[in-house]
Amino acid sequence: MDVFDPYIIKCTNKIDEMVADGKKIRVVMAPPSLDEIRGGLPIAVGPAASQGVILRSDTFVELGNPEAGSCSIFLYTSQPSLLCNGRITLLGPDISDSGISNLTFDEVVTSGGLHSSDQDLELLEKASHRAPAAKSFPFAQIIMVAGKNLSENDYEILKTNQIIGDLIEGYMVRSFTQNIWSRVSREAAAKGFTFETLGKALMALLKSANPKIEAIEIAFVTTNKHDIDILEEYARQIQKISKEIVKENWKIKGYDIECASDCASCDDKPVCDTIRDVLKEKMKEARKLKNHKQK
Amino acid sequence: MTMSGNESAKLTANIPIISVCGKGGVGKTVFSALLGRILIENGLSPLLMVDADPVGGLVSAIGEKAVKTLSGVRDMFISETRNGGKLSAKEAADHLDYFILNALVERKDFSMLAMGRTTEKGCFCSANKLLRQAMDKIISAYAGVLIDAEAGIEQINRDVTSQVNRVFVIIDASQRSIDTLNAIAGMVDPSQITIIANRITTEDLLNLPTGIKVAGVIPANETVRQFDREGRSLWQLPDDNEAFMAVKNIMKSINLSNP
Repeated sequence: MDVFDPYIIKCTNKIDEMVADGKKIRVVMAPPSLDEIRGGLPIAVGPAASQGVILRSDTFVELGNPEAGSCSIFLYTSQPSLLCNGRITLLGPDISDSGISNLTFDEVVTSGGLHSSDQDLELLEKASHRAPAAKSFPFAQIIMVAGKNLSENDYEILKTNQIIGDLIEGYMVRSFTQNIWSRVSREAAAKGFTFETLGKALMALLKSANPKIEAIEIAFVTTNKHDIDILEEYARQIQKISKEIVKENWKIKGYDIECASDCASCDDKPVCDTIRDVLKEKMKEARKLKNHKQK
Repeated sequence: MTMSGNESAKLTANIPIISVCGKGGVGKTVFSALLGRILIENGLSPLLMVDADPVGGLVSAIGEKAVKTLSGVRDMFISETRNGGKLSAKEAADHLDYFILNALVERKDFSMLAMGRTTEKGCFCSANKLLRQAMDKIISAYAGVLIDAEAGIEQINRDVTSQVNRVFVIIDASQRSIDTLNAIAGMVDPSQITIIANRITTEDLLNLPTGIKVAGVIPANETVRQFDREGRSLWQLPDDNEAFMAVKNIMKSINLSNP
């Protein structure tokens, strides 16, 4: 059993609990190939796809702003069988539900893919120009990846990729520890950006970032702050474990990174500075010697 | 990831970044509020309005409230970094834009950012540099920036952005306001400076030192004073208010009514 497996089970159980409480669940399956995922997206994904800052006046939906509550959970396991590969789950309202209700996740499930009609887009555009303020939802994002060869090192790199805001058109993400605050632009919403889009975009980006990923499953929760608070507590525990892993890995390499203060305020800074100067001199000497030998 | 000075400058190179400076009490905040309204009405939208007065005059002058400030973000960053808080310095730096976004009061045509007052003693140039870089990224989302500054321009360069390209210096009938103007003129390209005389009479103007050209005069106005006393938003002043009209006319005369 891997270190985060109990949390994969906990998160899955929590989703089941919410469904048992009568909360509406919407599920869509992403196609297995990367090309198929990318091909079906209504927006661009990749470097420079996003325009950067999305102001509230250009926002169609705001997810997880500090008042509404948010959390971001990222988990990995070496057992792909623990996940349902390609599954995107939404609990709570979808992005399209915020202005207009005829583009729902349910349609995605029944039709097998979201291709909004011209009429839908027209209605969405009208709604977006009319709406003076963006709708705001509490937001939890749970990403679970699996791969037999995935390592803790892969996890650390992938973890930073879960908030890849600048790589998705019409989507801006700002994050702080386990909190995630994002905005979907009116333009992206008019193009049909839903949680299916976000889920698929994240899957495409994560799979491209690490081919060792064999299975990936994503869940979004937009129900209420209470549900988010429970998941946020999981996120805090997961982060603590994750930090411990990093610390232990550095210890194995001979470094103790459990330092209670930074260099600027450390009494021993002059000692380290002297050592650093000595090291610089040593490196200079080594370079000189190397150059001399090459001649 | 940090940006070089050039990258940072590129983000903000094409938008008007206006600073309103002058001695304390000359009427910078009233002018900034009226100028903000005119700029927005003339299509400079979205406009980022920065209240660089530590006690937050501009925020209330336009009827807004700012719970969080940029100084608060800076203090949090310094304190986290100094005390080995729950974040490493790198993590704290990576999250600065989250906190700046959280400090923004966002409205349809404009956003408001209050500088506030820092509680951390010390220079912290590197923290300021990171903040400026994060600010430049935010600024790039706006059509223009209007900063109600403290007396001089140096605080803006240090705390907000080094890209100010237009400086309004407000003077009144006092010699000290002229002294402040001279000090600012020593720091800024003279072609970027526009001098506005506030609450001044024609007789007072005659006493100005030679060589000082005033772009316009804003008369003392009882309604503005009344709005100020009652804490009402200056954006609710009637369109035909004398002071508002004066600012409007000055902007027309210097061709800044439609930037």
